[in-house]
Amino acid sequence: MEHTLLWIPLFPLLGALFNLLFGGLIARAAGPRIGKEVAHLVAIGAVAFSCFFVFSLVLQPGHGLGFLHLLQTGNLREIIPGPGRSGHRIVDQVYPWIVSGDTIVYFELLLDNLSGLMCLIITGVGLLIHIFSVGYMAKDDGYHRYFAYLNLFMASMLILVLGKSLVLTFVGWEGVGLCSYLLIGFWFTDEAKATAGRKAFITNRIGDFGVILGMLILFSVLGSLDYDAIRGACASVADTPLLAEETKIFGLTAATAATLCLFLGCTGKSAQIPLYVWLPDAMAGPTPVSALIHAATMVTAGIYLCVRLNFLFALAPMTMAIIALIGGITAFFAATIAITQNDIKKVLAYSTVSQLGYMFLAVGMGAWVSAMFHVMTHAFFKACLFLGSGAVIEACHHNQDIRTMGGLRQKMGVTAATFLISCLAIAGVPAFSGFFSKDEILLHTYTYASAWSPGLNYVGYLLGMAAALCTAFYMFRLYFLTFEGKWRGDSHTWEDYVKEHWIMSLPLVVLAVLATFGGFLGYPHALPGHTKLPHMLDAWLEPVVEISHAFKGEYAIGLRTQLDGAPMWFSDGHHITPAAEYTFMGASVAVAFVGIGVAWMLYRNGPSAQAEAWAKRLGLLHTLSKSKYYVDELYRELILRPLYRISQLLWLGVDQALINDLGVGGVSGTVKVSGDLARLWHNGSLRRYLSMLLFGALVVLGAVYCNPRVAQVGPNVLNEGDPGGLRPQLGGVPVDWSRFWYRDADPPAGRTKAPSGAPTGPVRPEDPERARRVQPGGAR
Amino acid sequence: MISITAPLYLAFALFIIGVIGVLVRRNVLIMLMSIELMLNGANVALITFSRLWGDLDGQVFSMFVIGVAAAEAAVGLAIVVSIFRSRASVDVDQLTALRD
Repeated sequence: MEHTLLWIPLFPLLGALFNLLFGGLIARAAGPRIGKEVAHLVAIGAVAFSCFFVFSLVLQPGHGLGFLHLLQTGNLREIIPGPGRSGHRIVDQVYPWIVSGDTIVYFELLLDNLSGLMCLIITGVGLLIHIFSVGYMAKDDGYHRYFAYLNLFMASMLILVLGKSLVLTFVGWEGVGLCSYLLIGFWFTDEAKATAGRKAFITNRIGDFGVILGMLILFSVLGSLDYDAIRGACASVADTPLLAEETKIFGLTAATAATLCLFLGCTGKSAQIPLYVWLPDAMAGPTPVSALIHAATMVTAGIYLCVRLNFLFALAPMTMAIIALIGGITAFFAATIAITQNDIKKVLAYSTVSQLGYMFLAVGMGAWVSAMFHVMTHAFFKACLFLGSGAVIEACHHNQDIRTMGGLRQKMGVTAATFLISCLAIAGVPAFSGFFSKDEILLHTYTYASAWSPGLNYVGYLLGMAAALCTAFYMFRLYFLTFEGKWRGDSHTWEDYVKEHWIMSLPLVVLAVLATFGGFLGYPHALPGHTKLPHMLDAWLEPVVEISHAFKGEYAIGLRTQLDGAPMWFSDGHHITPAAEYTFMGASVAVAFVGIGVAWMLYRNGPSAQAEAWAKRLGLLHTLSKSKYYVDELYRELILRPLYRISQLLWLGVDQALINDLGVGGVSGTVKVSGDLARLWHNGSLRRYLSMLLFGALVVLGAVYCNPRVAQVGPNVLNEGDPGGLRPQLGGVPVDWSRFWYRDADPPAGRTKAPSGAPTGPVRPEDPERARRVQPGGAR
Repeated sequence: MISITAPLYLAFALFIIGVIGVLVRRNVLIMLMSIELMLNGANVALITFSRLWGDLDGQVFSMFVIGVAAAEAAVGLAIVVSIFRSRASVDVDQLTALRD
């Protein structure tokens, strides 16, 4: 097949088209049951196809990227053909997309180690969530519409990660934003849900504006947005145009300015401070959507973009410091909110924001691989958590308040078990996937440092540890309140709960397995058996991040193993010592168990009096957390209200008064008034028309007569003294009658024509044509 | 000696009489007759200048005017007859169908 990669996003796109165009028709023609069968078979089939494509391309050593080979040998170097470590890439140049002068933007897809990893996550988790949706959405009327949007999302997301240039990535970036909006507002008859969709879309637009600006800066400096071109331009710190003096913008280097703008887009898409506010509200959508879009895939697009452009970000230490700071603060801040939320999905939403903060902390510390590692493990356990919450919500008849749940483990064993596994993973309990990725991020945060921001690593580490503590606590608070203790809802729901169905349990089990073992792809160096089980993700992503890693210590990001000549305590001068790694691990594990222990003490039998007491004792802090720090209210007062005022001014002042009333209304009013006036003349009286006709004729004649500049017709032949023009003084000078009546003194009787020969009377001015005509024997 | 103005005065007088007739009378028949007067005033002026220049163009033109006037009278009278049939009146002030 020629276009190998094109099929990956094309299958879901075709599925979406099919369901959008024919889904409703089929349901109407063949009944809702068959309609739903067709809708989900098409949608799942499409995703399964592209999933198969991705897996075969990534895993195969022969034609693909050879992930299996890496798994077996732990070494990527052997299978990479060609010189150096350029990676085994598959490029699919579909067609020249934008051709404008010298600038050609190709519709070009790239499957390399990074996009391959992302594609694995997207299609794999996406497929599971499609399957889960069959159970979750079974009773919904918008079934085919739901699957069409879901497929459209898959296509957009795959274009986002497969695009070989920023332009194409941006297409996917906008596409996933659109699908997110469509799916958040999926039940759009509910005003609040439709508003949540709009909020997500508008907030994301603010970020997208940053992405566009960043793209424009890069394009103006480099003349291309192709990732390879940018990579080439970033290859050397010494002579990259992005750091040159003449490309500075407001005193910032082009690299810093561009990355700051791009990061603004990332804060929108990946829900970081200050643009995270849409994500908790996005829980208005169907729960599988929350799992797929607002936890596992779409929100990681920002991290993907940073890692994809790691060589560019590495040139901008200031941006990196800002990213790390914002990531760390977001991680902690969102985790503290999650502690007090009572909506099962809201807890998970703030947890997602917090975990994304971790990933950005890693990005900001130059730990690109760790960020991607956490993207992967987070996709597994967070998708599992969300799907589990979906199963719970379904069982409780769409009740989401954990205060009225409890003891559900007795009713839904599979869901409870998978949920527990995922909680252990996200809390960072050893051997589960989240432990490895989170620990790696914290380790790198502490030990990596930028020359630009000394001390930031300690701040980031503290924020990360605090967030880890909160995470362990709120996740187990959630688990205990939902699955343990006694049922606190009404007995009717308890008796009549919706039983687990295998189609919903299957994805849960698969995801729980992945959440358990996914961490072993990034097995730490210090632990025993490392020689047998190396850090595979490091090897896998090495070709992607090699440039920015080459900058280590040279320019921006450095492994801070030495300070002022002396090795730091965690370093032997070159590497981090195993003892130090164990220390960090021990700290993380301790924090995780403290969090879990506190949750166990306070909530193991439902909300306890102790918890109440603690809430009272914390007073203001508890209120702040519970009301989400009033950020929504703050935004409403500081941004929305002035904007609303300005909009109202523009609406009433400019649009209504100036444009509508004065402009449009003025024109039409003038026409109307003049029409009314003119209508008075048109009164049907024939005699008045005629008088006006006469009057008009007189005016015209008078104007002609009075105008001295009207065409001169030569001297007045009737009157020698008259210079001519249209004002011959006819009455002024007497005219010889005989000359008037007959041209000759003695005309022959009956002749009216002047005889030949020179006329004696007045003649018209020279007119050879007329003279010829009046000649006897002439043409006439 | 007759000034050239004499026949032109005649033509002018005819035309003005016609104009006044058209404007002040309400009877369509009288108006048509007045229009004939106007046309003939114009004819007199044409012939006057034709003599003045000593060629036949003006006279030929007046013949055309007479022909057109005849046709106009025929059409106009036919319209008057049909108006009278439908309205039993030839008062132009009552003929306002196009306004309303």
